[in-house]
Amino acid sequence: MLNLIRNEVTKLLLKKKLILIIGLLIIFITLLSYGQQYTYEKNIDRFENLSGAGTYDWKSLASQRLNDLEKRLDSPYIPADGIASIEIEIKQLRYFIDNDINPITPSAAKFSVDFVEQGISLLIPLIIVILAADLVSGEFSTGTIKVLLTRAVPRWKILLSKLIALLLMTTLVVLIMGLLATLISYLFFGQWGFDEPVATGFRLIDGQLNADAVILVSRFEYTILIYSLTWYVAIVIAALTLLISIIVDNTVSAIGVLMAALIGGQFLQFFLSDWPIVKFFFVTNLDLTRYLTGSYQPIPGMSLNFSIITLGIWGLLALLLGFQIFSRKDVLV
Amino acid sequence: MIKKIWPLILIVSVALILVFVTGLIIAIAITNGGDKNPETLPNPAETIETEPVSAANSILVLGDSIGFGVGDEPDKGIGKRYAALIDPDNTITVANLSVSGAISADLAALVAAPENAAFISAADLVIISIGGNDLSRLQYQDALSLDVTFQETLNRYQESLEATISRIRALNPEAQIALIGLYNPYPDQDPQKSQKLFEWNYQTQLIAAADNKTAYIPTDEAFKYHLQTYLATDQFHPSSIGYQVIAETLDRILNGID
Repeated sequence: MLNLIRNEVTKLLLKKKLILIIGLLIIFITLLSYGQQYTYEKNIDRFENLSGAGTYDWKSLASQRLNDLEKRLDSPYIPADGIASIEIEIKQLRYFIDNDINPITPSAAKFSVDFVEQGISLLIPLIIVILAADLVSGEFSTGTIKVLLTRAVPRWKILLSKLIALLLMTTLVVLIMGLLATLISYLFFGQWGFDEPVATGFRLIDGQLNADAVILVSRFEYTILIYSLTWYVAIVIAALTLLISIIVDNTVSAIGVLMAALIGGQFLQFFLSDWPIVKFFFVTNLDLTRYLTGSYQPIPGMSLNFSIITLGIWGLLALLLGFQIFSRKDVLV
Repeated sequence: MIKKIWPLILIVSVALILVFVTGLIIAIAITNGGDKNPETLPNPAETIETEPVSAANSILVLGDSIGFGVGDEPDKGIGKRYAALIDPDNTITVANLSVSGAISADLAALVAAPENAAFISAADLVIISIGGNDLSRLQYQDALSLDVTFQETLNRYQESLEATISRIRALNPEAQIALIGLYNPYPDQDPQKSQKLFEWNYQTQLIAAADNKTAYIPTDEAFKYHLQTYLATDQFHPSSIGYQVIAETLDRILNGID
């Protein structure tokens, strides 16, 4: 079995798709980091021109805000549910002032999180599609499937080895994505920013954002959490891609079907967000990371648990169906 | 080549899968709130009972950060500055129940709360600065939805402000009320947004006109050409000079020029 998996990993590596993916990532990340750095400098410039105060002094602004918040906390008239979020903001501001870090300065850690947050619903799924779309269909179109199936191993074992190889490679791609995003953006920003505190743990109660359970974690821990969610999305997409790759017998159609599903799904979410059934579609649930920042509830009734379960069901069904079809498929090439 | 890196690939991937699964579980646990329950948080509004000092002349300031005095020197603000203007001997008490970031609905809830009734019935002058946060939340709306959301927000603001004033009147029929108008802190804003501000202030004036002892204090006209000096370093709240200007306008409108 391990040999079969190694065989599949070797095939994935030899196709040079990993190099293509790394190349794409390097181009995107470089452009985006440059863009962010440019916007940041422009904002500072604009602020300085607007205020006419010469240099932009974030520290006095932050201290003023900190003082204001502390006074608010002393006031007995603030509502109970506001206290927790004020305390969180005070802790964050203290950190920035104590460590002399401007809160809006872009850092490598912040960029690597922003990058997957933006990419999780389209760019990252497409990268996984590039990786996985020809896993089975490629074997059919080139005819190599015959060589594979004439070995003395049951068909499900062959598909399982492909699945595990895909799982390993998907995991590696997520790692590569994180490393590239961090390293390249560090070249632009010159700051790691991994131990700055981040607020997370927002909940939705009756459609209202609730900040009672908000906690502070370091940006390093936060990055791990965000990449874990990204990884989950990536393996679900990998499972779906595998299914499509089994059903259609050439790679181009496989990529086409998946792109149509991903882009069409975004449209669906945009036009039919009042229609409750849309929330059971997998594309609608891809944006897992937004639940951690608490900024998001696309359709009433959706939560992190809901999205994870829905995606899980889609992934599992795709695998079940994939194994069924693969073991019964006629091989006529 | 691949045979050499294969163990590395295997080990790294498996280790990462473990990390990611743990991260996923932690993320789910965090989002579900861990073991913290909203009911267990203490409610400070009930624990602190402060009796207002009853004096011959007392001022109550209600509202948002401008009522609170954000941007001013510590322990000042409209109320204190106005008190200093009309009474240099310092016999006037100024109570400030303003909450930074409050919107009109928060203010309506604050005056409806029984623990604040004593302050309201003891006041001779109630200064209210509210609405700025209602309006500034619309700032990032796009042009298409702006009109609709603006109208909704304005309606809610009117309802809350009317409720606030009728509650104050129910507790204290004699007090003078002063509503501080909004000014535009953004000098180069497009005219469409300035119009919204005018409409907002106009509705506030209508509400002020409905009550005999409620005054509307305009600020936009005074601030318009002096944003550099009247605004604090955050370019949003008034500076010390700005607060002094508001207090003087208040004095001129309520007491006239001697």
